[in-house]
Amino acid sequence: MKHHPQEMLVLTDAVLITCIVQRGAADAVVHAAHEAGAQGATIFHGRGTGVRQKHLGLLGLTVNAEKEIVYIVVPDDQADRIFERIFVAAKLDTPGMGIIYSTPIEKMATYIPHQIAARFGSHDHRDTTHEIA
Amino acid sequence: MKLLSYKTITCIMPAGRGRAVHNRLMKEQGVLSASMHHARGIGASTFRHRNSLVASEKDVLVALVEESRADDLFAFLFDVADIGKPHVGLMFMSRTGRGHPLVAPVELNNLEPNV
Repeated sequence: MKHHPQEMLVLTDAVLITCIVQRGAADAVVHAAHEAGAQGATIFHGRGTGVRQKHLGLLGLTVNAEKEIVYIVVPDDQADRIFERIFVAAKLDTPGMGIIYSTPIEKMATYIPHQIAARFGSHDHRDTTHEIA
Repeated sequence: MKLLSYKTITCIMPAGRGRAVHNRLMKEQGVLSASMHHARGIGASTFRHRNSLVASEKDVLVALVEESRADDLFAFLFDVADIGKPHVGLMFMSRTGRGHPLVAPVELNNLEPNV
């Protein structure tokens, strides 16, 4: 059977929001992002270090060094709104709660249903790359 | 130290697929500067109720690639990881500041194939 490369639809104008919070707080971040319009999130674990040992919390123990890192890819035009909703939901204005930043994405690709792809002028030719802004 | 421009390609795919993709990237494209970690993913199909999140296990591959090869490697990973199929995941590419790739201490061809 001949292998046909899949059609790749490249999306531009996307932003990656990365939010690093204490372990257990990621679900609140994901809920807030979802309610603000985000389609998904990826969460993984990490261990943070910084000023907590000397300056934050009771003996530096009330800020958990175990972290959850949340990746959320969002459209450019919704990024600010989702960013602010996450900021509020995760209480990131409180010292020691975590950090959040957004990074521009040059291009991204994922599965896009045929009906949606057709709206952007994509067709059935399988070995081409289309760009959707 | 050569000052080349680099980009990072991040590929989020179902758990279990990452190692094979990582190996193919290394063996077929010679990209050593890649690392993989585990994650849980929540997508459009897993948002079931307002207050419950159903996550699925994911592998996340992050590769540092030269700018001149970035588009080709992006297409390679798209194909190898089957990103174009439903419920698989997503991948994205972003520009980096300065970077330096991993230099192999041994010839890759002399290594035993991974199981």
